[in-house]
Amino acid sequence: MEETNDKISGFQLSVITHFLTGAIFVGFGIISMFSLAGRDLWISSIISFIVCIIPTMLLIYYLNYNPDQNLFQKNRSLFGKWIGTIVNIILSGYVLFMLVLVLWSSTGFAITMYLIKTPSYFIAGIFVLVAAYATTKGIETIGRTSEILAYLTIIILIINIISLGTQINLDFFKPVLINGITPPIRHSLHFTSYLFTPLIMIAVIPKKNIVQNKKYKRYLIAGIYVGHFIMALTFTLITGVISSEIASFYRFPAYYVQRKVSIGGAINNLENFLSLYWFFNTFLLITMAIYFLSKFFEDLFKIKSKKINSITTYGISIIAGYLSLNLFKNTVDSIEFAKKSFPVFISTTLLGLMIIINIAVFIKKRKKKA
Amino acid sequence: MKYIKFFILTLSILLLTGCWNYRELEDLLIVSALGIDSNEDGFDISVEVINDKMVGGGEQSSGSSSEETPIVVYSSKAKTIREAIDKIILESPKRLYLGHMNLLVISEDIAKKGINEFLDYFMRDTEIRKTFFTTVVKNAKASDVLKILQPIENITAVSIQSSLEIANVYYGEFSNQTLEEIVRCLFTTGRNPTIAATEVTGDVKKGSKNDNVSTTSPKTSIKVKGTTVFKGDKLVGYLNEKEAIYYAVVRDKIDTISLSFPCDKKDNYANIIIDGVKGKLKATVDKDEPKIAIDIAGNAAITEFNCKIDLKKPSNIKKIEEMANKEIVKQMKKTVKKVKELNSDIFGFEEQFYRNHYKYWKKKKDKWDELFKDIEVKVKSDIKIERISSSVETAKSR
Repeated sequence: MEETNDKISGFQLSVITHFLTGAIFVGFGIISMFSLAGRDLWISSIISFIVCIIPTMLLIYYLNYNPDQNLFQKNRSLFGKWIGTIVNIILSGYVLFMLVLVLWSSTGFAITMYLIKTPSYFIAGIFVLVAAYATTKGIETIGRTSEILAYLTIIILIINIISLGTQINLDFFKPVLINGITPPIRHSLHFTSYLFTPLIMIAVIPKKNIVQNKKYKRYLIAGIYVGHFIMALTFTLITGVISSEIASFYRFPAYYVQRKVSIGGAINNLENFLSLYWFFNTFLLITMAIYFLSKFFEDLFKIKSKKINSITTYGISIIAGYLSLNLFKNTVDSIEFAKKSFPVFISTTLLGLMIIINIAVFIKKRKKKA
Repeated sequence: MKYIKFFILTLSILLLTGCWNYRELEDLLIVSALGIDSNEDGFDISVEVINDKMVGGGEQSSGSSSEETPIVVYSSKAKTIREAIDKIILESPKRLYLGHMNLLVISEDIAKKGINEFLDYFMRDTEIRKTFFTTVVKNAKASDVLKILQPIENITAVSIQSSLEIANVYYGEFSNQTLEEIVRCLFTTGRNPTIAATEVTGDVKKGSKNDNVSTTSPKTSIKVKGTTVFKGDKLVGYLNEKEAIYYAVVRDKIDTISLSFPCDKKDNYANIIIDGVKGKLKATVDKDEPKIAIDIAGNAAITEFNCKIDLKKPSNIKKIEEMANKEIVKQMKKTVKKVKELNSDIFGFEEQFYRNHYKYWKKKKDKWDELFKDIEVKVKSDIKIERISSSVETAKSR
């Protein structure tokens, strides 16, 4: 199917990447990182800067293989029709799971903090239908949406940094490394897993769909590390302002710390506005995941009609919305899952699959050269 | 397609006008304070709600009578705070809204039993802000305190909250502990919480009538009275107003203090206002013994001087500085002694060792109660007198 709205700028790619890095932290990552790493979380996030180099290189290496093809076409050309399709189904399974997970956490966040009596299906429905609508309009619309959200994000970040930065109490970071460096190293892997896992969705955008694609890698790396920096900053501000003990007490410590934001002592109670940033993250992940899955079906069933593609997109959204309502029995299960299962069963297996795919890319490149 | 878009847009207009949580202000009773007393079966909860007929705009709206009070207090009993609040709904004409709660009043008996019994609700509920003030009432029930009508400020909760803030800013008494600060103390290693103490003077029953505010000298009033001392979550004692000030200095929680001290041997006194008070706590370990140093600094202005000393002489200013510093060291030592007697580390001496001498703390953490009683505390005060206000002479100098 020929698309007319299929171009995004390098900046938009960077912004989408940055939003994807933060999405899993909402409702899952932040609380589980605090309960795991406590006050040494800032150290884990710094170590994670280094750990992130490995998956970044893997992703870039993969993206450089037949750069003008999307992930599904790449896999088919790497593994052949049948195995390639199986790999695509597995990767789509991961994306569907992340979509459902993030929908669940966004709905939970909205219900807990804002709309206590609003039915969860209504909130999940609003989320997915808006995201599905953006998806049917093409990647250009997603890119432009992310760009608008980026400017709002800059305002939110400036307010947060200026206001919370002055409230940091350095004592809250002490004592440091009471159990040695090993736990922060281990927790940096958790950090990286929450941060990096959603980035597989970026591979659905072929290089040809990016304007200024010569600097494609730079924009991608900038997006990853800006996202990383914002998360590290978030953890530092939370620890410094309310202490890791208080942060571990709350399910949404990032929302709680934003209650302390005050502009000049006169403008207070900005937490609902400032926490929009977390919704931007989850919204972009939901949108990109629906886009990824609609592209998967388009590729799998060779859908040419725009109308059928739209129906598929809405169908995926409704199914994801329904699944998200029944994903976990309760919040405790979800936090336990984020802490123990997500890094092992989702991130590690996905990393393993990416390593296999990259080995295949390496062999293919060698064969081509030979 | 056009019709579908039109239909979706029309539907959006209907759907996006509000949400399930939509509540009209006129359907809510704004809770300004909540009081907790204990009973054998659980909690006695009292909520002070604002009577919107009497408050707002300064004028009584139609239908209100002069007999009505600006606040109404509802009470109920239950095993949990939430249940007690829910029970009040059966009595009140509107739904209670706790989002603007300013004050939590805790009775002495429940504070002695332990505040962990009821804190969870306030931490867990998303509607309640965690920045409201708390106070322990010494000689009355929490429900009684909420009923006392105060002059100047119509709403009792606002009146007490203002008193706590003003006591902190102008008198230097550290009283404005918010729920969040209390919880941080309970959750952090090495420091026990404190909560502002209040006291009722006069007859509580008379204080709940409009007569109490229609006189130039109210018979019943509520007064900020120092600070409570908790060990863990249990109340173990009180610090008086002066001791509360020195506690606040150690915690570096106040900016200005007013200090009166003897300026000669004839029982004459001077007063200085110290601005930019800085209290610094430092923990050291010397020969396996824990030591604490408290350093106090600030710049002062003489506000009253009732001794016969020539203030124009620089050497005399130096002498006055020494007198002031001596008084501060004396008062600080007295406060530390009192806190040691109560055996509750509200200063956070242990926290200093935990944060800065972790290995030492780990070795000694089980014996901290004994160590705290005997810990050596050195106090150093370095207050500089910068200004002598508008007089260069003293009234007694001639």
